[in-house]
Amino acid sequence: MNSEKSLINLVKKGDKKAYEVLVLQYQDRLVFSVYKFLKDYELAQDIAQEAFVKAFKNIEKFRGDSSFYTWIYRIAINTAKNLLSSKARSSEVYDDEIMELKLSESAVTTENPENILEAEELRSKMMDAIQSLPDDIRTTLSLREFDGLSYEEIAEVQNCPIGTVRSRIHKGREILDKTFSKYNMSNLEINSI
Amino acid sequence: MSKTLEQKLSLLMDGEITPFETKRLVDEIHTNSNFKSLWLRMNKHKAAMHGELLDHNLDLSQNIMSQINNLSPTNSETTKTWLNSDFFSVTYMKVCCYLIGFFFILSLPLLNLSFPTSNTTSSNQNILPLNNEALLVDLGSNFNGSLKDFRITSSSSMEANYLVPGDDKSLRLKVFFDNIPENEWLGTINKGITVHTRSGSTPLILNLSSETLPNQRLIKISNTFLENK
Repeated sequence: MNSEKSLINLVKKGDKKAYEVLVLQYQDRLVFSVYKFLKDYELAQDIAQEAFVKAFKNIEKFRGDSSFYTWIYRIAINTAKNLLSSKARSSEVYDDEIMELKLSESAVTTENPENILEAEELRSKMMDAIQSLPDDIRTTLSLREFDGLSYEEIAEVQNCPIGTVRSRIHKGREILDKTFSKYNMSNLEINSI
Repeated sequence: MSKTLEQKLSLLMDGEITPFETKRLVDEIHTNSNFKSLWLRMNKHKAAMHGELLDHNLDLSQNIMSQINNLSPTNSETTKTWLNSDFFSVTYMKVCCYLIGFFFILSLPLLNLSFPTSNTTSSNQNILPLNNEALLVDLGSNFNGSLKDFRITSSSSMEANYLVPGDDKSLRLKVFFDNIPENEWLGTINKGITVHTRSGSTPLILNLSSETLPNQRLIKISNTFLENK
């Protein structure tokens, strides 16, 4: 089963609602990736937004050879690179070293800007929450989230029915949702609703 | 919100759900605000787990969907009609090709043209406004690359392979003329470095890629196009 493929097929048939599901799924990850590249949070949001619109316009060209995220990531990074190139051109000052640094994907900042610190803090809180989960649920969720195993593989590893894997993962996420509310995550209200 | 539906969201997140159920969940997310909120939160938790959440209040979906809803319908619908109606697309294309070929042959005496006698590449070269090989040699001179081969990929783009001296490695250069629509050239590149530059007064978009050259070398080469602009 590949839900992402199903979502893409729906989008290709003109279902914009399915595309919104993909946007909600990948927006944070994409903004984070572009932010690492540009070190400008506002700009990262603009680029991510532009990338989502470009991807929608070109969805017919997405063949599914890679994941949707990999594809949209490429679009976003190319958009960012073009922006940097045009900025460099318009200022007519071209600094070789700066451009190389920007173009290098390994150029993750070492200076710990505020946003990265916030991401680290949120991650640390989430990891604490995971640690406090019951053993069986924690192990199952970790195998899924950090080892990337499919439900079938987890069932094999843990020698339990696939239905148990499903319910453990769901239960884990449910507990995390409640726990995370304590860390002021519960104020998440979608403005668009 | 039913527990079963909530669990289905978890399955959707992990790609463990059938196409039919996916469609059902899409509709449910769209119509049920609590459900949509849960889907957003679940994905934020996931991003946080991987250290990829910068702002837990961020939600671009409304802006993105509003831009998408304002797109002109020709963007997607034209393509869809062509793709979905196999019979008409293939038949129509065939008829068009025959007609164009027929009228082209008829017009040759009037235009005082003759059939090209050399290879197909040179016949394609007539489509583009410039002397393509000279342009590619000129572009190669930026990094002392020797042109190995090239081909015309469309009326506004071409692709060339060079040998980079010193490294004895090959480099692929895709050249797009500035009149090419953005989505067209963007759709043909999936790796490498893309720069906007000029050849004389002609604006060009170049995409450089290589299977063998190190990234730093590729970056240096791409810089030469910007410096010599």
